[in-house]
Amino acid sequence: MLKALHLSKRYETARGGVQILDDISLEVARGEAVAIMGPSGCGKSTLLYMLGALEQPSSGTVTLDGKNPFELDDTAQSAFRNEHVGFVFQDHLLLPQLSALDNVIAPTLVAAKPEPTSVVRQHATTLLTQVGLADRLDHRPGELSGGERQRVAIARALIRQPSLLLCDEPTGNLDRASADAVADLLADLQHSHNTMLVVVTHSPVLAGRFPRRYELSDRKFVNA
Amino acid sequence: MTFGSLTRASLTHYRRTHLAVVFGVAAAVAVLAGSLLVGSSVRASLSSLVTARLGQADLVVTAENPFTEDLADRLREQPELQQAGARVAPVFALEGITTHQASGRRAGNVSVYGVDARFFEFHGVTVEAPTGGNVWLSPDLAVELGAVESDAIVLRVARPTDIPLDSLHGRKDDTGRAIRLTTLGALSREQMGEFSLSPSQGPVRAVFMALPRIQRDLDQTDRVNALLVGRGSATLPADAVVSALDAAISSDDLGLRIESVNDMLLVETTSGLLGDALATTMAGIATRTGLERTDVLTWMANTMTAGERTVPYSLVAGLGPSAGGDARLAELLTDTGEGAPPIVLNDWAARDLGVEVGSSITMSYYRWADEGRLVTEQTPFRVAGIVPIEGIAADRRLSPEYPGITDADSVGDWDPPFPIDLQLVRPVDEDYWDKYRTTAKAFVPLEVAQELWRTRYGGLSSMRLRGTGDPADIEASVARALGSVRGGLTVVDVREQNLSASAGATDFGAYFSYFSFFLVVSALLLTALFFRLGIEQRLREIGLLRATGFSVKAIQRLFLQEGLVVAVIGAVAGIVLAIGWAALMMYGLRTWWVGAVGTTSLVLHVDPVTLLIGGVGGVVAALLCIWLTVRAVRRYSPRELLSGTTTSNLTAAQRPSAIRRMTPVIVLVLAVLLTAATFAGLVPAAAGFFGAGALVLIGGLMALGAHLRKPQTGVLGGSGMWALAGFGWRNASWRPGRSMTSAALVAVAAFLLVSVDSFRKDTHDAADPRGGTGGFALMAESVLPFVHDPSNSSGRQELGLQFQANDPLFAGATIFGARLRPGDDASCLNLYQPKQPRVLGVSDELIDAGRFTFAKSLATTDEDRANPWRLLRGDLADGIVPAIVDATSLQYVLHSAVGEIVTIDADTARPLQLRIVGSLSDSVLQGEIMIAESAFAQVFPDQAGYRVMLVEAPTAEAEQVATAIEERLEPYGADAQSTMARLEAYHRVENTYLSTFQTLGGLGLVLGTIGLAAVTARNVLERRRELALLSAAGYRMRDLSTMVVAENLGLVAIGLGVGVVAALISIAPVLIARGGRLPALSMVWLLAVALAGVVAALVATRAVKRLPLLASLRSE
Repeated sequence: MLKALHLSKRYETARGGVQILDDISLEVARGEAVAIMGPSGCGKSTLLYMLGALEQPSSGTVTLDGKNPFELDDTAQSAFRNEHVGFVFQDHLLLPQLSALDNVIAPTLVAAKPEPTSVVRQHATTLLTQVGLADRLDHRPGELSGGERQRVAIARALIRQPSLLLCDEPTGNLDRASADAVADLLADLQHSHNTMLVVVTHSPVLAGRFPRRYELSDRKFVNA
Repeated sequence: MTFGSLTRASLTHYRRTHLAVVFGVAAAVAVLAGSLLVGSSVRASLSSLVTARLGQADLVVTAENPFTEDLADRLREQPELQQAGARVAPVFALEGITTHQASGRRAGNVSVYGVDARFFEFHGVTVEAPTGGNVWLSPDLAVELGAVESDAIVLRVARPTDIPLDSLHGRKDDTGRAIRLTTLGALSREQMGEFSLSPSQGPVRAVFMALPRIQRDLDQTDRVNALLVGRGSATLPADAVVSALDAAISSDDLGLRIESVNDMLLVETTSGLLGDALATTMAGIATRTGLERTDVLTWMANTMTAGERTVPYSLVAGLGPSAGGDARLAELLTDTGEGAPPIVLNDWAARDLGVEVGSSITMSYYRWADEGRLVTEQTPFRVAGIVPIEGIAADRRLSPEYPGITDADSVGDWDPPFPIDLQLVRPVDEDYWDKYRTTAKAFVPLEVAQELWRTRYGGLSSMRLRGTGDPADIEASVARALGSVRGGLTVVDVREQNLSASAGATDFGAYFSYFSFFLVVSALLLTALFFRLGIEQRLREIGLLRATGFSVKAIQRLFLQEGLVVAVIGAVAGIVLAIGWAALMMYGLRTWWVGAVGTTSLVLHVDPVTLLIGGVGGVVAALLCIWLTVRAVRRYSPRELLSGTTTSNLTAAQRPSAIRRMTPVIVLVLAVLLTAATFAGLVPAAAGFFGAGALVLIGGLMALGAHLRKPQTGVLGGSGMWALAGFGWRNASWRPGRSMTSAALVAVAAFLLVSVDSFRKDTHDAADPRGGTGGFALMAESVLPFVHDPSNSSGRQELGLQFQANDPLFAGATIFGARLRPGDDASCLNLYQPKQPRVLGVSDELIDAGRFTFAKSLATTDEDRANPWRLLRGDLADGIVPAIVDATSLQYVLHSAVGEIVTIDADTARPLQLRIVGSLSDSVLQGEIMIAESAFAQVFPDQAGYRVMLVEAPTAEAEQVATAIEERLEPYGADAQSTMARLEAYHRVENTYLSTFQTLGGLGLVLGTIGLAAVTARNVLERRRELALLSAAGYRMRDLSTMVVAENLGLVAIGLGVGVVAALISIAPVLIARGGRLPALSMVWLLAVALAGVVAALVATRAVKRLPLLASLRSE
């Protein structure tokens, strides 16, 4: 269970403070999928990063299965993310120097309980096969299309079998066909892996595929 | 997939970025390792020079007075040396001055070696030894004189004498010999033509003449003053040679005469005086062997007068308590009656004077005063007894042998080294001489004699030992007990000493590391910069790794692994480049900067260990820079990293506080106040202006930083180039850290390059007594010592320097004579560490004159502060002698400081501790250590007479006076040098070092400016979307270039401006003294920096032109 209670975020700038989010609360159960919509700059990504323990909220708490990652030190917080959270970004953010397979494997390098290399490799291969890239294992990001890169990014997000999958505009950079394919893939995988899925998007089409949707406007959920 | 494979993949993928880092590390390592290699090359070159010049000589046995030549054979035959296969060669080594007869060219400081075939056999070279009046020259001397085979040269050398020159019996008019010789040509270095026992990188001026000839000319038949010892194949410790010498030595070698006279053993020396050490040793031997001892000090009385009667030229013997076993005489001499001290006359003298017991007589006698003049003194005596001329009273040997007196047939034939009035000599005196010769006419207690006539050379003229032992056994035990060292012979491990000296007074490795400071820093900054740019290029990657659970430490480890590989590759490349860099620097030392080293013999020696140290040092420094860069990753949130930019909003804590905003203003106000206080004379000029300059530098840079960091509130407006330039300048605040780094680098470097010019030394008014010359126009030095004091008119007339009292050239001259212990040059002209530095004994007159300016002193009273020279008169606590040294020599050559104790002659039998009580500021006396003349006489008793003159003369007449000194003191081998020229020679060395620093610093600055270009190009690249947007909005490529150039040049101009203004303020006193003349070399380098800035701007412009602006826009 993901619980976010009374989350707020405020940035201080040279010209004064800027409130990004104000008193946001959200709960997502295991197997649930949620979409968060809103216009550009409304704080969707910020919220997502707070849920994924990437960014400290100014106030409020986040717990995942009862654990508050912001109470941990940097090392423990990193380990927490590695074990429990998977990220998919709008820009795939693949490491250009690595093959698709190595990109998927990369998060396992810092696993608290490392698995044998062969097991990891098999798992990564399975994931890439699941996302339809069985024949692209050794390809580098530069040799993949945008949709393929995003699928590698999804496989990478799932390699540690996280309980929470967070996607930041996962189809934002894709054409309609690729976007649909990625959306289908996310839905399938979320179902098959029984993860909690939170997707932020400004695409009504993508959001429409989720049973629970939240609209972020003026720093708050307007339909929570 | 492992950390290692991830690192490998990253290294390959980002190879272009890493290549720049490799370049930076390679440059840093090349300069660092190259600089260290320069140091090791200089050391190795100096060491090679020592080895080549010493030939096979490892140790040298020297003596204050010549010893028997066959000591060489006796020493060689000692078991320790025979077993080691050691070689020994006798030589006569002297210092001299040479004149080429045909051309009249002169060369001073010539090493004169009397050698025979044994010398060349010793070194294992095949050279025909000189015979008769033939002489070999060293290559440098032959060139300097322009002498070729069969040319005639005249050599003037000091004549070794057993009797000290500045004693009453010293032959003051016979101190040297002029020898006419014919050259055989020059001996090459391989033929030992550059043989030298003293370490010096300068030219070798040496003459090799026939040993028998020099022995004959110096009246030293079968005697030498040095033995060269070669260890042979085995390692022979110096101690073993000392032991062997102890065993081999004879009393003759020590100048000791022991013979049996009237049932007593008579102990004398060839010098006529027993030194205190010898007297103490002899007393110990007498006590141990149960011998009765009588100490004797005999002196010449000019007159003994009683009333109207006078006896001229009588020998008077001071006798110890036992009075040679004559109980009656002993009893009379212990008379403790009231009044004048007792004297016992022989009956001839008593009769001649018409006195009886209880009468008073007055004795007049000569004494040679330490200050170099003959004085006549008088002492009243009370006749305590009259004895017949028998027994000890008839012993002619109470008087030592003095050539010119004791060997004369009659008093009329006397030829003493002091004036006598033969008109005083009566027929009865001649009769006495005929009958009794040197028999003393009077006897006084020894303590009275010593109080009157004791000199620094000793207080006894002979010693009588009465006992039953075999005189031969006693003589042998005396020689053994004396030991070689105490007897005046010294064994010096000259190879070890000279090789140790070749470690150098100047650590060129350290110097070139300092000089290359900016180069190394620039290279490391570039390394850090390029690595940072590489990291910034990969921020999103880092963000992703953070998002997927990599901790900061894990990411840092990844990047450090990459950095290590890159640094090692760069270091390997740098090591190769270092050899080239060092070769270039060595070339520079032989050519451009030869003024700093004074030799072209320095060559590159590639030392792998040094290279490795430089390489490792470079890698460590580079890794430190990389670590600092990687460490910065921690500052960025994953959110920032994922967005690919680290230009996060300022947090409240980072927002400049009011104090921070005001600080630059406060600092600049302080600079103004300090300048005003300096002008008002409240603060010393140099410190005040330098402080103000430094404050302007700091304040200026802080102001720039504040400007760049403050929110840009102004509204853009206008049109044309200036509007675009203003817009471009705003971009400098986009990355304030980068901009500040660039401007600060330029500013600090400009500040240092210009301000270092204030340390450049000019030679000013020679007539200023407080200046570097002390107000002396000339400094003269002679090969032969002169015993007459040149500071007074009569002394100068005695010397032949001044023809008559009113000689216009010298009548009003101020001349200070100084005693000299010759030795190693302690100035920056000598690259070797001076082990036995030159020491000057300065007179009371020079001390009281209070000339020169002191950099620092231990003065605690107002009088001493006004004239710190007075500190030289301090007590010699624990034998530690107060000394004054030039500040530059003290710091850079002796590596010591005021207040510290310096030990000189550490490798000799007589190490000497000096307490540095003061240091002279930029003086002409950089080559020597100054101590008081009185202390000099105590610690260097064997250094007779004066050899140095400091001469005050009007500038217009200086050359004329110099010529007169050289001509009139030609018999002494005098050489007069302009103090200005001497000071300029020192300045040339220091100024050359500064030029080196400025050159290498300037290069570093140029390298730093290249970094600026890289920063600018990177900025352009990172802002490509912004520039693309402007392009879409109608900006032409030319407009964008103008903006970039404005930003770039703005930073260079501000950096240069702040640095130069600060520097000019800091060197204001120097600028004023130079009439506002700006330092040319600094200006050249600043111009180079400005040009490099323009190039950087052009590079950035080129980067703009190559930007795929359309693609950038599309990606937006």
